[in-house]
Amino acid sequence: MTVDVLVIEDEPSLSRMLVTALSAQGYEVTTAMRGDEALARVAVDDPALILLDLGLPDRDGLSLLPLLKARCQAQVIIVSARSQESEKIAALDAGAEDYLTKPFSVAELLARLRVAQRRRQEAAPVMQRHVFGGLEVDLEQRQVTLAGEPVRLTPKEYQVLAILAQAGGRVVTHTQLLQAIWGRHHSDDTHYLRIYLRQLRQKLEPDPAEPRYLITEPGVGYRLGD
Amino acid sequence: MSLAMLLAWLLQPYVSLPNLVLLFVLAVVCVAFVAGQGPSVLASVLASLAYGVLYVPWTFLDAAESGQYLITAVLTMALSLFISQLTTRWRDKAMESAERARELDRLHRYTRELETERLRNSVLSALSHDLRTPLAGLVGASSSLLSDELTLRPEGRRELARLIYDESRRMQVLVENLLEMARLESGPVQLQQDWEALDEILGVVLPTWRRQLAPRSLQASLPPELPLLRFDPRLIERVLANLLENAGKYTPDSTTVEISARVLDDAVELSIADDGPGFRDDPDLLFRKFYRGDSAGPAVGAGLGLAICRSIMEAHGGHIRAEHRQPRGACFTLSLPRSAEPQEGLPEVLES
Repeated sequence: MTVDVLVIEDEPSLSRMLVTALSAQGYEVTTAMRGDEALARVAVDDPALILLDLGLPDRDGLSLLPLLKARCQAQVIIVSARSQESEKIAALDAGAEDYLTKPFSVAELLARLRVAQRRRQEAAPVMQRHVFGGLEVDLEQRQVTLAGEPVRLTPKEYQVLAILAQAGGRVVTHTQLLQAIWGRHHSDDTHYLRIYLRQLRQKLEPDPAEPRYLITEPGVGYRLGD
Repeated sequence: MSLAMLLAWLLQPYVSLPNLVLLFVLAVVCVAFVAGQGPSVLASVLASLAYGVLYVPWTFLDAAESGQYLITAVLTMALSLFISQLTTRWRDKAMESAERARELDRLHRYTRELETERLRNSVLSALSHDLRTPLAGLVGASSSLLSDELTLRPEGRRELARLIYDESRRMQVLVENLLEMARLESGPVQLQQDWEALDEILGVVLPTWRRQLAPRSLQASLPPELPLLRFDPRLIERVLANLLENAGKYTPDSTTVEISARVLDDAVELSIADDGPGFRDDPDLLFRKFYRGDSAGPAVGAGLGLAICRSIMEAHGGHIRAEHRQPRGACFTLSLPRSAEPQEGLPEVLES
């Protein structure tokens, strides 16, 4: 059997709320309250998406993540409280697809689920063209256009943008960006990113002071928005 | 006194007579200092007697010499008495002022306790008000939605749902401030510092707060090349959010809120200014925990926002200040120190 969403959350009221909201949207939902229960479920259910709460009673979500990833192809969205910020980033670096900070609105959750779903569908053949509002990134042609007009980017600017485009709207952490572009030795050099993002915003954003494409996730990383 | 005698007896072979006299005088001063007036007078008498009886070789002296020694003994007694009086008086004064200091201290402690008590009461009343008000709305609206007796039209249901959402958001702000305060108070602040761009953080904050502050106008003008700074982006975001929330709470709808930045040699200053009614209080008072501006009208907030801002800024080695703005309004300025910007190996930064 395949279900759409597995909710791994130990707080009954929150779990109930998520089931109600997601079912109302037509998702098929199952739940697990504990880590071991979740591992048993994924093997049976093979969910497309997993909402993973980091604070579980029997084990921390961070150690659960690789086990879940090994057992199914699901896109994992981390759900965390503000006090678990650093774990959240570690989870993203460890391969979680996205995150939500509690408390979140259902609208926010549904938007993240749509992004994750789109990504899952794209996962099989590598998508070559990514569209974010008026911004288009063509990875095959290495071309970027804004409202149909080609934009000239430097090689590094293009690399930053391409990685964000490939992520298709989900957050990419500073570490992931730095390692992909400059290598392991530079994974702490966030100032590189600040400078390139500033340049990219100057070239791509209608109002660089309030970006709509290159969205900052403070302390975490960047994502592309539309 | 007997110690002095013993010492005098031991030292007798080595020390001349006048020095032994001084030794007795010293002993008298000690007695006066430790025991007060009565014992010190007694000690003076004993000292001169001891001198006269024990150390003066009367049998070998002629009348003139014994007269001299007698005068020395009497002078010793007079000097001892005089010094003992002085010492006693000085000692009493010292004890008196120590007592006064203790009393003052007690008084201070008492006022502090009163202050804490008063603070606790006002905090409790503010908190209970701030927590209860949204709760009342939440319970009321959600129970209406659940009720079988009420037949609500879709707009009505939506209205109630909107109320539930708004009230929970309000409560979230309060709870987050309380938690933040508890975290800040629980020990040295753990900063997750990194090289950050202030304009990026503002880019995150501005769109949200433009909506929240509407219909007030929110304008930002920043110099084009703000230097990178080391700070904890989430905490600085919280400072900005608290300041903007205050701007929304204490100003009328027609207000303009302006954000501007200034680059100094050793710091970057960010100001959030409005043209609202301003504040009447002493600017420093505003940053005290649980202090609420007198322009606040009916209780809003627990008086934690600015105290949190100050703790966060100080943890960064920066500061925050409040100023009156001419002709009207308030201006809050936060200052973050500039450290040497990272230079080493920024590859291809000059590409293109």
